[in-house]
Amino acid sequence: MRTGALAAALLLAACYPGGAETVEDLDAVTTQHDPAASFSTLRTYALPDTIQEVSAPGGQPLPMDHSFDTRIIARVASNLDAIGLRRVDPSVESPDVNVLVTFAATRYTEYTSYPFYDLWPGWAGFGGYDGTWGVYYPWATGTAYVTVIDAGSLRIDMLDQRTANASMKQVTAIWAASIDGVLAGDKESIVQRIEKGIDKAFAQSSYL
Amino acid sequence: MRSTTRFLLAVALLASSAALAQSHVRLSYEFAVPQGETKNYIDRFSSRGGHLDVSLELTYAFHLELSAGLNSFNAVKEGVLTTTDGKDVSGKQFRYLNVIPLMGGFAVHIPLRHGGRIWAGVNGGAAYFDRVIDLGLNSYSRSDWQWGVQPHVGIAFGLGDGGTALFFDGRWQYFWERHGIPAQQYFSFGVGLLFGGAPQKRK
Repeated sequence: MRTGALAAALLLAACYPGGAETVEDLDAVTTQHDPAASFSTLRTYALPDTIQEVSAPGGQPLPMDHSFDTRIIARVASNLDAIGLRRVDPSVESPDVNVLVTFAATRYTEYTSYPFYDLWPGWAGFGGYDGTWGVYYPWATGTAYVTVIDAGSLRIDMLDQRTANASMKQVTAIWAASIDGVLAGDKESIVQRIEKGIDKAFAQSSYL
Repeated sequence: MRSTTRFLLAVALLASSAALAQSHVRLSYEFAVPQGETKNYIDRFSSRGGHLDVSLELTYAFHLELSAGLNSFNAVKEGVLTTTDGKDVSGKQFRYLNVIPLMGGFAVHIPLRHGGRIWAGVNGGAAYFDRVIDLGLNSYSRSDWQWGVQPHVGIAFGLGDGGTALFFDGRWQYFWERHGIPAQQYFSFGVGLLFGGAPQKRK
């Protein structure tokens, strides 16, 4: 009876999704747009052949492998073509929008202080130390538990060339997409996840 | 005058002891099934929950009920989440909902043989809804109190003469829209132990 109840409890607990189990589970695609923009009047776009490296705020920038630029740019271009836009050479014809593709790869190292009871829940302490005490690691910056995450973010910005303000040197972004994830696994799998994210970004932007 | 006061005090003490004999505490494990907007947010039953009920007999069979509980839901959902600042975010959403209902109300308890009983009642109060969505490396949360009602029924089977009983109960938990958060509802079903419900000994 007791064994059966325990087995049932374990079975129920096992059925519950507790959070991300693979790196793909942490992939996210975010899109934003200017509600005032008239996307239906767009006809042409310009797209550079390379991906610009940028650095994200905070964290340590990681080097980027540009050997996949062509493939990623082609995926962006095929999605833009699919929504009825025509790619033009900006030196020959002024496009309605410039589409910029940038990438940021960043290593985030987090030092988190923690009290004993976070590490061993329910533990009463020892030798007079209770849950209000922390652990000091001399080799780390302060009282810390270290978490390292390599995160990557591919960003696609659609800049409205028609409303560019030359005097202020300002161009308005009317659509932006960010394909975010953890940089883990082989390069091919990372690129496949990026391609899937690009498709998702356009698919969830039905107004384009 | 002095004897009258003593008489009244004696009556009050006898009455309170009789009442306390019928008063009891119920502690239950609970699972819950979301309905309506709650189901839209988390379409998965919860197997993690519990309730503590204190039942105080006011008059014969009529009880004041005080109730506190916790129901934890979680589920995975794929789709696009539109945030309050106008972002559309897609990816695997790990959704969590913790509800802490704190209620008070009344119930009618009908004694059965061998220390058993059935009851039905309605509680009213509020619940704290804590909603969290983990998506990618970000977390989105929205928490607030919502007013609600909690009709409930139960049946208990005595486990000897000590007043302890095994019981099963069911509740419909409904909470009204508040601060733009739509009305929430779910059914919860509990199994637990009733303590202190000794068979009635009227003086």
